[in-house]
Amino acid sequence: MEPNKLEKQIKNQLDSRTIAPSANAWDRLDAMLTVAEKPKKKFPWLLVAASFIGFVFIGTFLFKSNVIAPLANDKIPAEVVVNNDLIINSNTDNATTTNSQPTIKSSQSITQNRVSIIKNNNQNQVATINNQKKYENNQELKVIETQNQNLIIDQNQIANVPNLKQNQEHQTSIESTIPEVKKLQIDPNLLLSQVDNELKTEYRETVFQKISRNYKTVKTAFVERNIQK
Amino acid sequence: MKIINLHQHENETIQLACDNNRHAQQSIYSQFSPKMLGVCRQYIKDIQLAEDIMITAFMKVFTNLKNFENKGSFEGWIRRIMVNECISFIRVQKKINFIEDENYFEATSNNIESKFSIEDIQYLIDQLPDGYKMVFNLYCIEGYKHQEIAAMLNINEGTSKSQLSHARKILQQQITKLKNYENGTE
Repeated sequence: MEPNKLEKQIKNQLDSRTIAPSANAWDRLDAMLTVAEKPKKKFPWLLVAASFIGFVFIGTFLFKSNVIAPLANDKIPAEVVVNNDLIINSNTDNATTTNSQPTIKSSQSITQNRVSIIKNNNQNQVATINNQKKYENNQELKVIETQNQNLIIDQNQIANVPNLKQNQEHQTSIESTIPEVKKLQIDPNLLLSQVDNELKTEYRETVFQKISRNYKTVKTAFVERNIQK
Repeated sequence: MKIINLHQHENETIQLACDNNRHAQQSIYSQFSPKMLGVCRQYIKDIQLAEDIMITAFMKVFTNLKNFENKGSFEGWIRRIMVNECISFIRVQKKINFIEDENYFEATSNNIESKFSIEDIQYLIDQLPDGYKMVFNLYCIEGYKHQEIAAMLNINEGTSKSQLSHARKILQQQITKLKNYENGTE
């Protein structure tokens, strides 16, 4: 039952037929395509991955900071801060002067630094040297107080002073003062322990003063309030 | 004389349309829509409805363009989508029940030589019931075999043959009537 001639004729005529669609047909199709092309909401894998990595970083950072904190506290006693300008590290275990070299970490100029020479309770006295005053006064280093004649500053201690002043303009003037100080003999360990003790006592005193002052203010405020009532 | 490779140009356009390039899609639409509306019109009597179905079918063409494997002609691929869309529309809207008639007779070869206009042909096809029309179009115009038509319409092969036989019988009657009308005998 193959297609006859009439059917072939129909097929040929229908195949060659074209019908122009209406003018807005493309606009309708365009609108449908635009709607279909709108991106579908996908699960935000990137956001999840980024947040996960962020949490991991924060977690590791916090964990490390918790581990380091106690170690830092252990080191604090070995480090003494003098007037927030001069920091002296001393090795308390070593009695020799060579190992107990103070390191000075000061970013400020030497004219603003103050070196304290601490009185020795036994025989040596601690002298306070105010470099600020010294350098302002024609850069002279003076010993303010000397109650004992055996005031000697260790050369090793003094030798580290130029390290502090490498980038300073006053290096030469300090070196000129060193020979005068050479005669003095100071036990560095003892000196540092004295500084430590003094600082502790000073710090305690200031803290107690603050506490008492605050306590008084609170007390007065409380009493005033009761009176007003 | 510069020779333009038409297939290469078509492939480039298809590739661009696949990437949602609107100009390429419009180019494909402009090229094939008149012919495809004619195909849809074979199955759907209402031209507005036929256009709606054509637009829906083009939508499927563009969304499934990445599945086109360049094995056959691009026009044939689009045409197949149009035919399937028309058939599914008719089947959903009209719920055609194909009745299998085992006692059908095969129509004798009718070698009518007379020329008919395209409007007359379309009129003759429009007079056919939907089931007959679909099988006639698929077999005679699209060139499908009865086995393929049976698979497409989910019917038996015998049903397809009987539907075609009935369609031919009706068409012959209609053509005879039309010829008699033209000759003035009726």
